[in-house]
Amino acid sequence: MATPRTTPMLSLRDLEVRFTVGRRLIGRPKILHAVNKLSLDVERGEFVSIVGESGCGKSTLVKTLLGLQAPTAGAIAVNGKDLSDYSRLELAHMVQPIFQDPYSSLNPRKSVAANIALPLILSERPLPEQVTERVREIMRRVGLPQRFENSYPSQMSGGQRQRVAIARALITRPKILVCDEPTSALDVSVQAQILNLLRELSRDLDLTCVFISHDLSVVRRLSQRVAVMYLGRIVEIGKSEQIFQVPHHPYTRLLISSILPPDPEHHLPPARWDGGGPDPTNLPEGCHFRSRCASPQPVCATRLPELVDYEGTRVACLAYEPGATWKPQSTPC
Amino acid sequence: MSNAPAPLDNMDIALPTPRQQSWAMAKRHLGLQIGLAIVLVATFAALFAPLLAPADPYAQDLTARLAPTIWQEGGTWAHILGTDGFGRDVLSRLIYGTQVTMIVGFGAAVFSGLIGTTLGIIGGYLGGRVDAVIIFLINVKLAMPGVLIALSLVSIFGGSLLSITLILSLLFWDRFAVVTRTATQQVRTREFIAAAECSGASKSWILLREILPNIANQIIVIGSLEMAIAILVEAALSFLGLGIRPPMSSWGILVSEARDFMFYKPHLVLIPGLAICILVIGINLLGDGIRDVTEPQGRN
Repeated sequence: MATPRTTPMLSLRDLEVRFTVGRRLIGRPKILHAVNKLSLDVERGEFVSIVGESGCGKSTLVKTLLGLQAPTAGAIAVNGKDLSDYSRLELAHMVQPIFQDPYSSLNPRKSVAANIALPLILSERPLPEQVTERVREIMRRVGLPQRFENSYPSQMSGGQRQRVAIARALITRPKILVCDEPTSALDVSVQAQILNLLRELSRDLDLTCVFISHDLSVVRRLSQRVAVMYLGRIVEIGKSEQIFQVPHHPYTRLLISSILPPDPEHHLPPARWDGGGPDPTNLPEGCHFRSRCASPQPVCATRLPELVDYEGTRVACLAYEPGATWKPQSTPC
Repeated sequence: MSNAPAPLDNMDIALPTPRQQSWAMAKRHLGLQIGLAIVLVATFAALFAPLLAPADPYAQDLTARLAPTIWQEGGTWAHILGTDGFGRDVLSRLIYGTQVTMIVGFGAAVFSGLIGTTLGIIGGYLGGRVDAVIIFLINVKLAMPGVLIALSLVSIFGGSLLSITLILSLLFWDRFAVVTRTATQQVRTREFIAAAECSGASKSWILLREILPNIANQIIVIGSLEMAIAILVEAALSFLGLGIRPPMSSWGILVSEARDFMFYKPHLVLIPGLAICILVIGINLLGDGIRDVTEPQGRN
């Protein structure tokens, strides 16, 4: 590979995706900032998770990474080359998705083998024997017995279907895997299998993974780095263990405190922070999180915090900027 | 939890291929077999009419007008289904009439299906302005009184086989368009379409290879319905004297010619009417059967 080691596999620069919602005949249409000035570098072979609540822009980010949604502003570079410079097939060779719902991500009219072979057939135009061989190889790799090759997705369980989706994503040996909540539609017992499979494959095949999830317990096991997303922006990013052990941003603390440990003595987390976020089509001045924050300060209403380095992680909270005189209260639980 | 991707189980018996599965299902599907048999018999009759017809369908014999059928008193084997008001052999006219009925039925269903499905899936998949234009076309078409326009067009362009087939196709594409457009909109949002886009599939690949197979059921059902309707409208046009011109024969013409004798020779109306009815049922059974056999959900 001629690309120097320092070029990140995936690089987002001030990425912005805006939607016009509620267009009316009279009056200004509302603008929804689904992704708002988001910057992120993912190194080759790195496993990065992006977490955040529903509606924070995770899915839009996934669509943009996959080239299904054009960014309104900003740039995405894949392996040092701008996304818009890739042809459809070149991009398919670099980036492949694993979607949330394996019941809708497989074509129900095609057999398992035909579903898996699709990216291969489109990009390499191989001979039929080669297709069969490659499909069987990747099916073995993801732990699908060969007898399933003529089955239809409707004959399989959720976990088996997700294995099919993984096989399809990996058959052309892409560099980047974008997983959009790949386990949230599965049973807990199957989740573990799929997650182990993903971790193993990403290590063995030297994949760069962007893993989107709202399930923090899943993220902790898998990823090297975690980015916490709130209303289209990254509010905290850092090494996985660091984020989970010492969360800084009040939103990260809120998310981590909402993990339910398997302990009946441990009561439900306090619900008083839930809701009350700003209208995403009409964001206020200042920090977008302050209406949900436990210790908002007057200065929070004046300025939108940028990511700053703080004890090895990067946090977008005015309390962690140099010279701040207060720290957010920790979660009472 | 072991580290190696554990095989899901140890059985490794390959399932039959998709084609074998469909074939096995077809062998058990009685409705499909009956429908196929009816359509095949009609097709066979249409193709080999000159060989099958016992008599000349155009030869008049005014001394043997309105001869009874074989099961009525005085019936003879010379005219198994009797003769019509001009003394022509009804069975021969029925067999020759199959040609027109089948050509108009199939032709109109296929052409209108092509027009309607093309518009429907393009509008449903692309959405936006393209879709707005297609909805406009559909609305214009829906606002037109179909049979009235068919009548005026036939009176302008004449009642040849080709013009009738084309006019009927131009009149019946709207149902295909409405149904395929809605079905496409439902399929489009599913993630396998996004997965195909991420695999580098072109728009035509997605329309033809991903969406079309998933709405094929609806197309087959509408197709069998439209074919039946085309046969009935052709019969209605012939009945009104605007379809295929006599002495050519179609099942509609047979009904139309027999209406003068309807009250004292009802079999002259009933026989072609029954033929239309059986063919329409056969087409619908075949359509439903094809749907069942190709439907992966129906398996296991």
